[in-house]
Amino acid sequence: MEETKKKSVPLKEWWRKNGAAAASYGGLIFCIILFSIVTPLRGESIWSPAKLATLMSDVIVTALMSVGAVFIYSLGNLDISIGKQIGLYATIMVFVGNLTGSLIPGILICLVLSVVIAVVNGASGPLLNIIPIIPSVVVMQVLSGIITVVFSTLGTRSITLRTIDYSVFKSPVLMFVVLAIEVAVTAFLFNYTRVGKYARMLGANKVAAGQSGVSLLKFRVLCYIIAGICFVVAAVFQMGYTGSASDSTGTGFEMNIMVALILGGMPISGGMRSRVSAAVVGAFTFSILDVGLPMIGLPTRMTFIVKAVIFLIVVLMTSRKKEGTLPK
Amino acid sequence: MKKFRNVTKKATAAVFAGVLALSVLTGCSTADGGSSGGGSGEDTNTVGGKILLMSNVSSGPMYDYNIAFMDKWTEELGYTYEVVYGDSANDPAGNLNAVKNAMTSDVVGLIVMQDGGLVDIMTEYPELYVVGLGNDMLSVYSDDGANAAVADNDHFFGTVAGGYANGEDTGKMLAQTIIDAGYEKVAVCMSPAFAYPQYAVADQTIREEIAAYNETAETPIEVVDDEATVLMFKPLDATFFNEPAHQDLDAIIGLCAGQQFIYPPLSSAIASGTANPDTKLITFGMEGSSDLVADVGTGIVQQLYVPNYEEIFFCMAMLDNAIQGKQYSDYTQSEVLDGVYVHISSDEIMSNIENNSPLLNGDMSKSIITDEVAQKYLTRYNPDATYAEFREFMLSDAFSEKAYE
Repeated sequence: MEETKKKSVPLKEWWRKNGAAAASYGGLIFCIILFSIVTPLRGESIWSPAKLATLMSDVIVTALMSVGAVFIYSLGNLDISIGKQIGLYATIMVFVGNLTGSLIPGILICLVLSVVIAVVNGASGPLLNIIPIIPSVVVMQVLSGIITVVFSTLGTRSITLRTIDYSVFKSPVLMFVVLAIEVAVTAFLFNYTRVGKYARMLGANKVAAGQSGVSLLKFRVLCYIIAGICFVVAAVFQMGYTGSASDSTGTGFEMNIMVALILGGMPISGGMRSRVSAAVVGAFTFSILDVGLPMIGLPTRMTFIVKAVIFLIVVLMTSRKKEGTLPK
Repeated sequence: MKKFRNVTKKATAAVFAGVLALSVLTGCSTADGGSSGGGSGEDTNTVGGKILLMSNVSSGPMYDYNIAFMDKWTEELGYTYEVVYGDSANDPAGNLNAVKNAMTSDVVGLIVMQDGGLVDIMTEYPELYVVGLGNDMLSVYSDDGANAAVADNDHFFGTVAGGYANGEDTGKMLAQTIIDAGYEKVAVCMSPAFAYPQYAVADQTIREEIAAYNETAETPIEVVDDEATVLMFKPLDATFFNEPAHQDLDAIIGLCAGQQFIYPPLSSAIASGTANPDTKLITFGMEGSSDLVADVGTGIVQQLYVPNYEEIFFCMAMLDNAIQGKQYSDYTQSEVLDGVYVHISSDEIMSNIENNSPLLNGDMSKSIITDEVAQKYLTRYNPDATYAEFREFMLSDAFSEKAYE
């Protein structure tokens, strides 16, 4: 009896430390197995080239954004301007692309803009002593206004690339390669450089990190800049999906990121348990549900409910905070 | 206490998991549309498959009617169907994603209620037959439209607009309504021109027509403001009625879904005394709630122009002919057809619509699309049916308010 009790302690300890990750990986594996078994019964296959391509195109933008957002979430911050950033970057890429005949100038402009937005979002919190979400709300509204003015002036709700061939951005292979590169680079930055370590440290305990000599302002801004660059990469694929941008491009993306990260086991309050893999696992889980549920005959209107319930189950399973709310 | 919380948490997760499993099983067994395929048509040598309806609404009378229509006619003709929801703002990527996620190997046709990303959808699925509904598809039928390439695609069968496709025709119709009603002071509100360019044309036409009328009229009509008040996808601001020029209006012309965007603030302003109690609303679209219905005719909503939802028959006919490999022999090129309005201008007509039509209740036994109509215009039943006759039927009074008298 005593021995059994002793054995269960390490298991509990392991679950306490790795429960969120195990649940998120388990969720993804469960979805893959479920859809692999059930879809053939209905004459479909989630492993068909067409469905894999659909899955990749569904996952790519969310994954690229979420990987960048890990740097912001690990600080314990939320950025709700991400969707509008994507919308603006996509609009600039199409607009400048049509003017110059090349996507490069538009992408460069977006990279510069992303740094400016990152500085505003990252620095204004500590400088003005306001909670970090406030600047992102302001940025979101400003970007929303700019997008509305741009499309009102253009007299249309969407603009399309006229002369540039954007078909390369539809290639699942390219999507996979770019995602792999982004994950590798960000994982390196997050796990093996001071930026990532300090980001987690700031998320875990801002005061202790400050007392240890970590510059809150500098590393916050750096995290936002890294995330911003990832958002530009995501915007390239968002725009390249249909070679277009509209006044609603990016709307609600920040919520997709939040859901993907939590599904991936990311602690919403940041800190030492933050990991880049949460973004990839969560984004794939989110998208495989999008693609797989209709294939097993679930009506589209019900997929929203099913995804919401799965989201709730994951939150309940991984929540370990003393107050019993969101995972810490 | 801690243990209790953990147990509660686990129990809640278990309940949610149970509900999820149940809903998935229920969903799988009933699937949207519910039709099992195979059909009951007279001609047993038919091709089946699934038709996707990409809807731009998820509730309301039009949605209910579309579901009722698809229920009846997909079963009748041997198809299944599924509703997918396009991007709420017609974003091309959102629409493409919606179709891609719902795509299964048995999908043969697509009815689209919005045009964003149409060229990408048809490039991705070149075998798919596509037709538009309740949309003028300006991006397809304008020279520099983003989807102009679709117009000549032999798998695209055109669209039936939600009313007049040309803003000039809409403007003339509304100007005449104002003149006939004897109004002397009117305002125009509209959805933004960048989203609905034809509304800007309609606004301009209204002003030109009334200016022309004023040249010989004994009592001229005043159209307040130089331009229409633009509603940015949200209801008219209540402060509109605080402006002196707007307080004694005879009518507001709503170039938008006016029951949704203008009626609430107008009725509120009338109730609070900030607007002329006799101000009437002339607008488009129809909401199903009983209080709104009760106010149509001689109430606040004086004249309502409702694109007839029953024109979804155009989509079903064009798709069915194509899927069966029996398209009309005289059909050569896709086009945008004007939608016929159900013009509700009196309590009696409103009552007819409520009682004799399926537009508010989805009761297909009251539909003008009867078996006889199908027998006449679907080539699977009538190989001699022609597009010219079909087109004439779609543009006829068979779809106006007169059909429900």
